[in-house]
This record gives sequence, C-alpha cells and structure tokens, in this order.
Amino acid sequence: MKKHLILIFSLFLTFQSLAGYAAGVDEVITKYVNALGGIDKIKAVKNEKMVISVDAGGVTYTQTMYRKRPGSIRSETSVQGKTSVQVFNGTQGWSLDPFSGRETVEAMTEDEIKEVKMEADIDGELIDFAKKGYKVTDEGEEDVDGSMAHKLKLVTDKNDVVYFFIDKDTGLLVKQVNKYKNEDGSESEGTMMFSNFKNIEGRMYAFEMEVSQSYQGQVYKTPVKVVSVEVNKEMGDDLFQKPEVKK
Amino acid sequence: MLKHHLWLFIGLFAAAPIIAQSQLDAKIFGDIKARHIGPSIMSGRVACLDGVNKKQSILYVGTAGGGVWKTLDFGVTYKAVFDKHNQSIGAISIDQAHPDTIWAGTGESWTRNSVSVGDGIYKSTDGGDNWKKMGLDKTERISKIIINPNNPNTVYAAAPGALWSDSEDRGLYKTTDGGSTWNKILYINPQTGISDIAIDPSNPDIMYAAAWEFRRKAYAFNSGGKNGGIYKSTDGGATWKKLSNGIPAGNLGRIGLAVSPADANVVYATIESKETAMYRSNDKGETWTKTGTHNYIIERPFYFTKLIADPKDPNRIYRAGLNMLVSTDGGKSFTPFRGGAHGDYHDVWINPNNTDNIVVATDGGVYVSYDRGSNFAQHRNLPVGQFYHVACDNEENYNVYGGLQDNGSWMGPSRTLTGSIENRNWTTVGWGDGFWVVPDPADNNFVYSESQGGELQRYNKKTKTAKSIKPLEMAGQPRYRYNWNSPIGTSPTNINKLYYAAQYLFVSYNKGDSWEKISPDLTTNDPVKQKQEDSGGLTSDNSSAENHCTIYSISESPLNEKVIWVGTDDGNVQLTKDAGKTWNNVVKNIKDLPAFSWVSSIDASRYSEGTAYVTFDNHTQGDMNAYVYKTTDYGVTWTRLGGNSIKGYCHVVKEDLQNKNLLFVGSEFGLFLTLDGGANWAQLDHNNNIPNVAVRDIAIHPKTNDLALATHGRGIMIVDDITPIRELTQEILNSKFHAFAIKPYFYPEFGFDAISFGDDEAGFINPRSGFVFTYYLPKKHMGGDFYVDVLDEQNKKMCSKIASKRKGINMLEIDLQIKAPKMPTGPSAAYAGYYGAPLKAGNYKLKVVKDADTTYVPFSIINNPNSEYTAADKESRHALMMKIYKQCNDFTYSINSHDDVKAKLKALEKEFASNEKVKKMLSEYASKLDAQRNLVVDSKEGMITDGNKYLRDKLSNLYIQVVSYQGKPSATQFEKSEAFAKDIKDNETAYAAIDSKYMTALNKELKAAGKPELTVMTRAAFDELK
Repeated sequence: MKKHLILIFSLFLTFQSLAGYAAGVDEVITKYVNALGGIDKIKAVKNEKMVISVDAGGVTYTQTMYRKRPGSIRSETSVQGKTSVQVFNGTQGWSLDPFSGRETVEAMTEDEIKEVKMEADIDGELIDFAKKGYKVTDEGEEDVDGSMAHKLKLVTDKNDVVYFFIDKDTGLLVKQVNKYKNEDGSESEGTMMFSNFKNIEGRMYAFEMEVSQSYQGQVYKTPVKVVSVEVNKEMGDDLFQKPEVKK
Repeated sequence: MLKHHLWLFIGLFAAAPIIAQSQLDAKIFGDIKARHIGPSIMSGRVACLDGVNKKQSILYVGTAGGGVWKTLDFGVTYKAVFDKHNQSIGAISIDQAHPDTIWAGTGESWTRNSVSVGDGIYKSTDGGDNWKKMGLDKTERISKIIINPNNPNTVYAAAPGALWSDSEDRGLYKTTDGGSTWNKILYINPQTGISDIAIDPSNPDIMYAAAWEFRRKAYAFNSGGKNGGIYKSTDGGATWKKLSNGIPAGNLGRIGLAVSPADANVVYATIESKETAMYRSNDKGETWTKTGTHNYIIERPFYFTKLIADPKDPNRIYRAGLNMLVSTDGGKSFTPFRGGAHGDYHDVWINPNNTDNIVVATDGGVYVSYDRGSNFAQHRNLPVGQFYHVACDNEENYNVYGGLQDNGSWMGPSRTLTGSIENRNWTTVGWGDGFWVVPDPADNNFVYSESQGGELQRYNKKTKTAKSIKPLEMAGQPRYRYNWNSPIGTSPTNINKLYYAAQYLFVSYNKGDSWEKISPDLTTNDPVKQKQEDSGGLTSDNSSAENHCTIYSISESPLNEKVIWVGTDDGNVQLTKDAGKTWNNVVKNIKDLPAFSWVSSIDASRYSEGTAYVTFDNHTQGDMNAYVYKTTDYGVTWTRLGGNSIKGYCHVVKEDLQNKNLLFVGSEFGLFLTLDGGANWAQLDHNNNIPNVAVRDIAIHPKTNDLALATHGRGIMIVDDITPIRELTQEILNSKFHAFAIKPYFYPEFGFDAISFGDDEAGFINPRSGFVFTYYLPKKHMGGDFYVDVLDEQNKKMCSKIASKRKGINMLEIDLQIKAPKMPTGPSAAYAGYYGAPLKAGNYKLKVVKDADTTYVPFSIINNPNSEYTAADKESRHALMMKIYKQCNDFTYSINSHDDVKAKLKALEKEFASNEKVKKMLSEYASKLDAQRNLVVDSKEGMITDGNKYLRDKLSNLYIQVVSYQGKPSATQFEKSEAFAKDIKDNETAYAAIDSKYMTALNKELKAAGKPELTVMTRAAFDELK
C-alpha cells in the first residue's frame, strides 16, 4: 500500500524543453506542460500538501502528503487512530510503521530510496530528464480507456522504466506505469490512472486516481480521491526529518 | 475469491439494434474482458525456448499457439509478453550480449496438421515489454533465428515458409541493420525452404543451412525432395555450396543442424532420408559420417528435428523427439531421457554454467531437470493448452469441457467457491489428443469425448471409467472414415439424442450403445484424397491427422429436429429436412466460395428454420481468408458475411441465444463479433484480454449468458455475462450516458480453503462476485465529477464510489456495505475495523452524478435464491451483525473519547508545570484512564494477542464471525453479544466514575486559571470522525 500511495505524487509533472531529442518527445511533453498550465506555473510551485482518501472497501484511509523542493517528501497515513509515516529528506529516508505490533522507525531500503527519490521530484521525472540522467523516447500511441494517448518511455539511471501516457486530445497525463528493477533481481510494477482534472491556481491537477496492482494474475484496483491541494503554504523542514515514535 | 454474482440485466431491448454502416468500433466494448481460466495443469505445446546465459533465472518460452512467455525466476512465475501479436512462435533468440534484446520469429515450424501461421519476425529491446515487427511478414513460419555474437545487428532468420502452398518468401534471410532491412541470402525454389541453420561460434561467417522440401494438404503430408540438403557458407551467407561428401544421396527430408560450442570443427546433422540417421562432421562440414541410427531418430522428422549440442562437451548431443534422445559418444548411440516429462520434445535449453540443468519444451509445456533429464519438474503455470472445442453443462457454477492437442480431454469449473480456479480443480475425462467433449444433457454424470480418428467414449464421472462407443462398420460395409477431430453433436430438441459422424451421420438414443446410420456417404468420397497410408513423404506418417472425406460439423435446427445440417472436410454442406431420409448438397449454391473449402462449423438458427450460418476454412489450400456465410432459405441462396473485416481463416460461427443480430466468429487470429447480423464486425482483442489467439470453438451458456471460448494456445476463456453486448443499440451508442438496468443482486456465498500454495501454483480468477453497475459512455470522461452514491429507500447514503470513465461499456464494482465499525487503537489490529457491514436485502438506488447531470438507477438486493439459508436466517444475521457493529462503536466511543481526554491532560501538564496540585490531579487522572483502558484493550507490544482476553478483541472477533457467515448466527454468538452489553456498560460506568472523581475538581482549577474546562468528546462529534 505504501508504495502505491506514495507513487501518487508523481502526477505533478512538467517539462523544460531541451534540444537534441526526438521531435516527438519534445512535442508531446510541451503539449503536456501546456495542458497543465505552462512551465511558469509549474516551476512556481515550491511545496505542495495534498490530502487524499483511499477507498479500500470496508475502510477509507486518509493520507496527507507533503513535498518540498528540492526533493523532500513525507506521507502520513492514518488507520484506526494510528499513523504510519514515510519521510525522505533528499538523501535519507525512514518509515514509521505502527501496525506491526511495535512502533518502530526503520531506514528505507535501497529499493525504497530509489522509488521515493523519484516521487519526491516535485516537477516529475520528465522535467530536465537529461540532467537527471534519464532518457526519454517516443513509443508511439496507445489506447487508454478508449482514447488514444502518446506513449513516452523514460529510463532512469538505475535502468528503471516509467511509461507516460499523454492524452492526445487534451495533453493531460492519463496513465503512468512504473517498472522498477529491485535489488534482489525481481521486478515490480505499478499502474496509475488519472482523471477528473481540476484547475487549482492556474494549474491542472488530477483529483481522482486509480492505483492497480497485479498479484498472482489478478489485478487489484484501488480508487483514490484527492480531498485538497495546497500550494506554497508554510512548510518547515522539520517535517522531513527522521520521525519519532510517540510514547 | 468470491462466488460469481450471476449478474443479469433486466430490460432486454425490444428494438432491433441498428448500427451505422461502418466498421464497428471495438472500443465500445470497453470493460468487457475475457477471463482466462487456464488450465495449466497439462499446459500445452511449446515450440522453442531460450534462456539468458548470464542470468539463468530468465527464460523466454515460445509457444505453438499462445505467444511468448517470460519468467524472471526460474519458472516459478510466468508472464505472457506477446499478447498484441501473432501467437504462433517458431523461434526465440536472445542477444546474449544485450539480453534485453530478444527476437521472436512467428509461425511454428513443427508442421503438424493443426499448426498455425505466423506473420513475420519481431524484436524487443526492453526484455519483452514491447515488441516491434521487423518484417518478413509473408514467411508464414520461422524455424530459427541466429544473432551474430560479434555484431548483434547482424541476424539470420531461417524460414521454411508456407506449409500449404508454394511460396517465394521462404529461404534464409539476413539483416545487417538490426532488422530494418533484410536480404534473402539463400533461396532454393517455391517448394523448398530453410528449416535450420547453425553458425560457427569461432567464426560467425561460417554457416550451415538445411534446405527442406515439404508440403501439407488436407489429406496428405510430404517431407522430402531432391532439393533438400545441407548448404555451407564461409562468407556470412554471400555464397553457398551444397555439401555432399558423406551426405546420403537421393531425396532428403527435414534436417536438423548443430555446431558444437565446445569444438567448432564438430557439426552434427540428423538427416531424414530413406535411412534417416545421425551424421557427424569433424571438419566443419566438409566430410560427414553416419554415426547413429537409433530407432527413435526416424520418428516424425517434420515434428522433431531439433539438435542441441552441449555447451561444454563436443560428444554430447541432444535430439528432440517423442522422447528426448541424448548421445554422449558423439552421436553413435542414443539414450532416451528417463525423466517423467510429457513426450514430444521440441527444444532444449542447456544452462551453460551448469550443463546438468536443462529446460525442455514439449507438447505438455516446459519441464526442468537438474540431472540431465533423469528427473523432471513441470512448470505448471503456463496456461497454453490448445483446445479444439468447448462445451458447458448446466450445473450451478457450471463446468466447462474440452479436448486438447496431445493432452486429452478435460473438465473444470467455470468458477470455484474458494479463492481461484486452480490446477487441482481440473479432471481428465479422456486421453490422446482430445477434441469434442460433451456432457450428456440428460445425465450430467456422463461425458462423451474422443481421441483422434474417431475413438469415441462415454466417461462416467462417478466411477471414472470409460466405455468405447465408437460406431463400427460391420461385414460388407465400407470402412468408416473418421476425421482427426470427429464431430459429436447434441440435439437442441431432444436431450436423449446424440450425433456422431464418419462419412456417414449416426444418431443414438441410448448414450452411444447403439447407432443408427441416417445418411449415405455425405462427402465427395474422392479416392485420391484417401491415401493416408502413403502420407508422410520419406517417413511414413499416418496418425489419422490426414484422414479426409469425412464429416466435420453437425447442426440440428432448434426449431425442427428433422432439419439437420452437415458439413464435410472436403467442402460439402449437406441438408436434410426429413431427419436423414433425403439429403441435398447445397454448397453448390455458394457461388464465390473456393471449391473443397473445409466446412469448419455450421450453426442452425434458433430464430428461423431455414436460416443457418457456416464457416469455411480454406487454409489447407493456402487460402487464409475468412469465409462466413448465411442462408435464410435452406441453402438456396447465400450471403457472405464479414469479408476482410474478419482476420484469418475461420473455425466457428455462433448465433447468440437471445439477440438474432449478434453473431460471434472464432478465427485463427481471434474473436470477432457483429451487432447487426453481419454487416459490421469488430474484434474483441487484447484490450478485452483476448490475444490474437486461434478461437476454435464458442459456447454460450443459456443461464449465465457467458461466452466460453476454446482457444488453441491459451486454454479456455470466458467472457462473463454478455448481456450488455446483447443490449447495445444505436440509441445507446448515440447517448451521452446510458445506464443498463440492474437485475436484482444477491450476495455470493463462498467458502474458504486453508491451503497455502507457492507462487508457482497458477490460480485463475473467478467471475466478479460483487455488485456491478454497467453503463455506457460515448467517450472517455476527462474532467468534472463523476461518482456513484448508493442510497437506501430513505435516500440515506450508504456508500459511494468514484466512477470509471472509459469509453464504451463500463463495469463499475461497488462494495454494497457501510464502512467498518470504529475500533480503538491497540498494539495489533482489530480486524473488525477493516470489514464493512453488508447492506441488507431491500430496495436501493444508485445516484449517478456526472458533471451537472444526476441519474437515478434503482436496484434491489435479494436473498440468494440458491442459498441454504432462509430469509429469516439472513435477517437474524443482519440484526446481530448490526448490533455488534453498534457495540463496537459504543465501546470505541468510550475509549477514544477518553484517549482524547488523556491527550488533553498531557497538554495541560506543560501549562501547569509549576502547579504541583494540578500536576498531581492530571497525573492521577491520566493514570486512572490508562488503568481502565488496559483492562479492556491489550497494551503489550506484539502482533500476536490473545483474542479472548480483552473486550476490544472479543468484540472484533465476534463481529468478524457474524460478518463472515451469511446464515443464522449460533445461539452462542447471540448470547455472547448479550454479555458484551454488560461489559460495555461496565466500561462506560468505570470511565464515568473516573471522570466524576477528577473532572469536576480539575475544571475548577482550570476555570480559576482562566482555561477552558475539560469535556468528554460528544458522541455526535465521535460519529462525525472518519
């Protein structure tokens, strides 16, 4: 659950046009950036706070997520009065898990750091992708829920792959597939669908998401609703320090 | 996990669908998805495989009809990675220097009668996630791909080519630019292709190629000819010479080649000739010596020719066959594998780092051995069975039946009452190659099945015995000719009637114990097409696969039992209107149909006696086109349907049971359908979870409205409840939003299974079991609110769900439950807090909010009509469940409200740090609250708690018990709940006593200090909290 919830951060994507890449990539990302509201609006975001609710059938989880430039992220998920916390300060990350019988703070694994680092990128993976050591290629078009979308493939410096599906008509990101190569040699995959886009202070945000996970051939879908988005409010750095166990 | 919900939608439309005259847009079918139910217990034919030498956990498997599969974990789990493309794989080759680059050649080269056709060569550069076609579209089949180890942009592809016709597209192809362009570097003639190639590992410019002349017809196969032989090039394929020194003279058939990786001078060849044998060259092919003539080497060279040289030992060579042969003395003697794998080996991958570890490809899937074939483990998670036919019975949770290529006849459930459909749920009901498998409509204990060549049997499920009931010719009668895949027919008008056919049509009324011949020879009876003893070419091969001039399809009119249609493999469509007294061959009335086209299926209409649909399969004459015809006048006139809208030669046409304009066609490349009686067609493809796999048969279940597909490469698939497809009209397609009516819903009643399997145990999903709201959107909903609330009769919101937003049919699953009760925090989870309370039976409605539009859709929850529990039982359960639900909340309120008080006390400690009196009061108050809490909620760390000690756990457990069982709760459970009432009250009383003792006094101090008084959170405030 944790991975998928934190992945949701990745919808805030933007792009700075860079010369030297296939015209298809530039055109598609420019289209996408314009659909979001333009590069200025995106770059103006210094921090974000998002509250989401996750419908897990019998219970609804509420999660609050904070992101702050240049690369910090924190998420808090509350269930039955307990709160799990994941924090990444740009270099180190920790998880506080109160659901395993003992409240402990554990350092994130390398796999988790790799993922959370990408999720903490407030601009998203596509912006300045070359500077970040990523490669992006145009993979043509693909159907997403009955509408055609541009498909971009991003390969990270760790050889992880993210597919972005940019709706042909609107330029909005409607689907994202993350494929991670784990340290143990296994691979993990997460898919997110984005919809119900709303304009918040000149910038488009997806207010609904669907997170899919495959397990033993079955696909489990979790609907996620954005309750609120705040941009550039006061956000101290102490939020991104190692969490403490409250006794 | 959950039992099928039996979704049925009311309101069948009276108006006939009228669809615009254009290609039907497949996207309108949206969430209609096929459910793959396997099985993988017997798996299916695997044509080739290749592993990553540097990381042996990764293996790619090329299947005969089910695409490419990949494992990352030594076969513990597999994933299909080729669903968007042609499913018949002839060759797989990994660029070992860049193992994310894989080449796949389509078109299996093991040219049995049922083999599919390919459409070119594909390349992936990302480990199989995405594939790009790189040309060679017309080669039809590719048997081997070799990547130059020194330059991966140079790739060779051997194309035996077309099986059923001449072709100039066969030969050996080479690319030097990674597949952008190809040159045909070795071509013999339109009859002779290249069946194998081998490359010198020490000098990749030295190559060997095997030329093979072959041809299959519907009634015969030939392997061998004067143009067969071994060619060698020393310049990367620019020039070639035909090798002869030591090669047998005369006609040659299929040849397998291998160069030893351990000694490039050593080249092996298994050569089909008049005296098929193993040959070896020790001088790079210049001279050859016959080394071995093991009996098994002569077995079916067209099907088993693969040679694999050991990576380390030049004298160890493997030869695929009915059994895998291995030689350790350089090809002189051979020993079959001793291990217990399925026979019919086609390929071997040898782990280069541990050559004891081999992986084999067989007609029964993939097996792995760690002792060179002495013992095998099956990878029982590759659902690539090649079914020929499918049938369903009428049991609750109906069973599906079908026969497979080389894997017998099976039955299995369409759904289980536990987690998923698993290997253990499948049962064999017949052996050999399986084809038609038909449950007896009159007695479901009996199953009719057959093996190749008409070996019909009646299987008894209870005793697991089988009785042969094949009609046999008597003295003086012509020999009965049975097809490889002889038709078993049931009657839609008489459940006691059974049909079977050779060149004659037979009928039985006593479960096959005796048969009446009700037709003359209905075939062309062409003697030229009845020389199967001579079939095979250089190597005789008469397995009944080429039996011809036989009846292949039978269909009795549902409206008149005397009207019977029969189709033959040699092109006749015969009709009787008098139960067999007279017959009329009406195929002559089809003017534009190629002569002798195989009649692959006939479906007599249930709406009009003179109407029938016929599919013709003419691929055995090299014609891959779709031929679907309809007559409305008993075959006097015919209309061709579909044309080029249907891809590939067709196996089956099926008229829907309720909508006469809805037709389904299964072709070699997938499932097609029309909503308007055949004018416009669409394919349900990978977007609907149906790869481009051969759909050999279709069954529509009359009760569940499910569409069951027999695929030849991906097992059985089921499209659950096609009612929304049936109801699609132009009016709906033109609407901005359409909500399909909802039939009364009832909760599934499912069981459990306490068995833990590993990840290697394939499990296939059961039908949706929850409530589904089905609606249509003309386009994807991109912006604005779109959600669904569930309201009770008083319009109170019970639950809510974000709507799905895709174009076309949406199927939104909604949990019909109120949120779980609140539970106090503890060191371990109280599971009641995760389980919502299901809504009780009654009338409800959906409030669908889409932008500014609101639509209300009524529905009801009813008691399961098949339930063993009465309505009173369920009401009793619901009442107790909600009582405990409330008790949980009452209890949690008392705990949480005092947790809140404690938090406030803690905050006050700082404010009164210098006031010892108040500090003491705060401390004592908090301490008392803790003490009371610890009496009812576990406070110790650890995940394992005694669920019977603390009230929190006891409440949670009782709630879960009652939620988990839909029948009447036990008397004990009722009593326990009664007892909880006192426990909860006692807890509240204890808290009240503590509050009474401390709060009033404390509030005096707070008031004096000008602070707000302490209060206990109100129940209303608690209820508002999420």
